[in-house]
Amino acid sequence: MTTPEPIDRPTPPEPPAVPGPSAPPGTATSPHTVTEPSIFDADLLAQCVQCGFCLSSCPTYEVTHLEEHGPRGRILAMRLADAGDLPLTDPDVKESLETCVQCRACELVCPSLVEFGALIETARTEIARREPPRGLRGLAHRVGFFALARRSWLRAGVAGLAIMQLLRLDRVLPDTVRPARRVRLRELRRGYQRPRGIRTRGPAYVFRGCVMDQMFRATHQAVADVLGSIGYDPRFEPAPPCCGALHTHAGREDQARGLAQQTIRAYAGTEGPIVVDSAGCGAAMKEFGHLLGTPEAEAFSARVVDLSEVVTPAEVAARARPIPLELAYQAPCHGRNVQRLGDLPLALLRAIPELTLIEPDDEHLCCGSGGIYSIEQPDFGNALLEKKDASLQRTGARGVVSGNPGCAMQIARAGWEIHHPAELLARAMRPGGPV
Amino acid sequence: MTTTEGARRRPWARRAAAKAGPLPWLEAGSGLTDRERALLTAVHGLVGDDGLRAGELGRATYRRDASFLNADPLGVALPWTVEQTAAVVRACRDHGVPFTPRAAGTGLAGGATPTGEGGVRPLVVSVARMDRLRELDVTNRRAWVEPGLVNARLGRAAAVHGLRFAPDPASQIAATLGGNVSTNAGGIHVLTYGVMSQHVLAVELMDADGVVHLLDGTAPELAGIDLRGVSVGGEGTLGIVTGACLRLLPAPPSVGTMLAGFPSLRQAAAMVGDLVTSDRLPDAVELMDARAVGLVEGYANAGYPIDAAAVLLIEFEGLPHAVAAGIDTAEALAQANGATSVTRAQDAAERARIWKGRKAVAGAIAKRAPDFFLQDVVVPRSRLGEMLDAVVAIGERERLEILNVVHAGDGNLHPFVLFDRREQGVLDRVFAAGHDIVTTALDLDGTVTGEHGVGIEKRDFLSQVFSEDDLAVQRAVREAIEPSGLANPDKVLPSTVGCLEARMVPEGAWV
Ligand SMILES: Cc1cc2nc3c(=O)[nH]c(=O)nc-3n(C[C@H](O)[C@H](O)[C@H](O)COP(=O)(O)OP(=O)(O)OC[C@H]3O[C@@H](n4cnc5c(N)ncnc54)[C@H](O)[C@@H]3O)c2cc1C
Ligand code: SF4
Ligand code: SF4
Repeated sequence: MTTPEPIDRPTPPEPPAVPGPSAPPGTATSPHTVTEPSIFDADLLAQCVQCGFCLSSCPTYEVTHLEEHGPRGRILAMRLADAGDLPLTDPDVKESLETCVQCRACELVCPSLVEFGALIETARTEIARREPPRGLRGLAHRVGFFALARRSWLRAGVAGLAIMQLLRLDRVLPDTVRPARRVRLRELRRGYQRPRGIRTRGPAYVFRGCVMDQMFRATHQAVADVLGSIGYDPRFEPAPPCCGALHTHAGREDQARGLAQQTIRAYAGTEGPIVVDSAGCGAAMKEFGHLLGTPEAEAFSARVVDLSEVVTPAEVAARARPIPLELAYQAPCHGRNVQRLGDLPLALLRAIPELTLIEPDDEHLCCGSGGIYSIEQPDFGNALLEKKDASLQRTGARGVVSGNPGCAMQIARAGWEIHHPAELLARAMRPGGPV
Repeated sequence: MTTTEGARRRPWARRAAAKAGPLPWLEAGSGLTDRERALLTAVHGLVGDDGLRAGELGRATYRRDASFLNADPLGVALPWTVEQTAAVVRACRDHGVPFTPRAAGTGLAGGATPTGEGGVRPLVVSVARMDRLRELDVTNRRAWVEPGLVNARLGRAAAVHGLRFAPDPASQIAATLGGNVSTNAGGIHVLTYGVMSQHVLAVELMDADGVVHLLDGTAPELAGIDLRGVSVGGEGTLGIVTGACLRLLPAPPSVGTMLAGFPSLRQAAAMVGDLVTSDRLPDAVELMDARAVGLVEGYANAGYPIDAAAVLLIEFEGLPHAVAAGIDTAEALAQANGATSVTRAQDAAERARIWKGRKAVAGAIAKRAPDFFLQDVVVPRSRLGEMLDAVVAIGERERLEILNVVHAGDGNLHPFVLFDRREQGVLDRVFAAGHDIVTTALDLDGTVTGEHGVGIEKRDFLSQVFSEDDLAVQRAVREAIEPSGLANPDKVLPSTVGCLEARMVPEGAWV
């Protein structure tokens, strides 16, 4: 981090262009002016030219059309905080930064290469440090984020949820926190099976993660089956407990770092791709290098792949049986904007005969899931879900394909049946079929 | 017929926008005058918690557009409907408070910068929430839009029916059609398709009394005085554009693209002249100088000739044989003008690669310097070579790196001045360079803006473009249409009362 040039601060903004009858509040002499060491990387913060090109891609701006709910306004808020004009904990500044879904759509379209993800993570970490969540929310955060990193705790929690759902006790939970996905105890007990078949390639590691390992075991199994059918030797071990993606999002960077290190250590001594079937986890793991800044982390991140990066459409086409379905395809933000997978996942699925995939006409607007965002910011979360639901309905399809568990659970709340790409691929691909 | 959903007036969105609770900025001691407090209270009553921002952050985020000019607004009103807009505008009139229309704030001339008049801070009125495509009439090839609809969204909706909306400013991903109408925006394809004005059939213009006037209509020919034409490019000084009917064109059946490198800027400029006066008018002619090419190649690897002093990107659209003939002509002329390399795109991938370089300019600049100042001037095509040389000289004099990116076909230069705002005193040099580029263009019989508008930035240059008499007529027209003078005061037309103390050199977080 470099110290900013003196020209930037602590000079408070000058009075407005046209002399007014009175100095407007907060401009001439800001009551908050404090000189604090900058928390931001000055070069990153300086990169934004305030052109506004990112506005239309920002989901929260699309909801309110307020600059402070868009990337440009958020960067300005960070700059004002950095210059000491407004504290980071000013209610408006905080709200502006905490309502960001961290979908990173702005980063994909920004012509000036602003690294918005890094900036917002710094800001959120600092806000969480200065004003940690209190009361019930604070407790929920502490317990929740602790449990994610402990497989046995999480397992107990999910089993509890399964029982609640069985007894229909989950109805007492408010709509925004009630998981739409049904968890079955049988599913929780189900083990993973390494597919049989001819191994023409080396090992590939299925990353199991935290919530996915409890609630989406069938997806992991499907990934392993697909990998097996093209000659990999799929492994379910090692199984570090959690990648820490949600922790990073919530500004719990220390915990996130610890989990990243734990994950990297777990895979030490292994070789071959680490295949991640949750777009959010994959994105976070590809950024471990950035998060930790060590050569090991860089090397680890380089091994992390999405299924669409290890399987080719040709390999699918050579083996696939038809799936006569018409489905809407939702590209998870973290696959598109962070992992920059482009059309790879879609191309893979399009190799399945008779499977029709329709892209909604919403310019890939975020569905509002954002980890625990839909719970923490229900107004935005619900508004975005409403938009996503409407655009999915316009496709005319009955079901949705989504490669991220968070999106899957969010979209399911609107009553949609969700398919994971890996499950469709596994269904279509015969193991050991013609090459 | 198609419509889009636009910003929803749904309860969730309204709740997300409303940060309810007490309105601390209305309380005594917040520095508001009685008049300001009265207006904010009235507007709050009209648009509610979700439609008004007047706190520090809310105001700060509306201080400027994409230019560097900024000023503190009284507050920001964000109506969801035309009715709400009318009520807000009437409240401004009743309290004698000026208002600044704003859309996406991608303007580069300070048009949406909320400078007040007579010491009263204006209320920013954002039309961003009115963003529906009201009607897409495929048979008659036209679309009725609300002002906040993003340019590229109209394009996408039209493309479904094999149609296109021709004006394609580089900012089309975010800039709105209301903003495009108000600045008379241009784009890459201005050469054959013309600027925004050629594509606006009718404008709904709200005056400062909140009354909406329909200027012109959808009939192919208009009778009487062309008020629609007057209103396009009004930059908010004539009132608020609350709707427009736009012309759609059939998407071209084929496209041909060519890239040519030249050993000197003058030769490239000569080629442009020859091409535009040939019997095959291209649809786009973009010029990049050696600095721009060097920077872009290092970043995007688009295969541009880095040894050339200038490259031209030439595109033809239309029926396949006409496109092929056009490219043939262009290639022959390029050779005749001493081109050192000519690349014809054989397929869509190659075309994309040729465009990749042009489109990567901002990214390449970002790798080099955190800030750029984008100038916009026009010179007659015959003076293009002189102008390009002059820009290079200005850059050397001010010790600034300047890249020439030019809509060459119509002599519209976009020099990018690179800098880092953290460097002491650099903005003075940047603005000096910007100023000199404009005066040079004027000396070469050019004009002060091609497409970005006048706003505040170019305002005082207008006295050098028009005679006092011309300006008086323009003022009279403005007064006739918007007699209150409350709509975006101090913009476009030079003030008669003397120079506006615009903050040309902002500091700190405001840069
Ligand atoms: C990097 C960059 C590249 C650009 N490239 C181009 C280009 O190639 N071609 C081009 O023409 N422009 C270009 N622009 C400039 C800008 O995008 C255009 O001027 C655009 O038309 C502005 O639209 P907006 O919605 O952002 O309007 P704003 O910036 O919000 O407003 C622009 C002006 O119009 C007024 N206004 C806006 N909406 C209304 C309304 N509904 N009623 C009345 N007045 C209104 C405002 O008061 C202001 O004066 C570029 C800008 C940037 C930052
Ligand atoms: S983040 Fe990028 S796109 Fe958005 S305003 Fe800043 S520079 Fe422009
Ligand atoms: S990360 Fe997403 S929500 Fe946050 S500012 Fe960028 S586009 Fe908006």
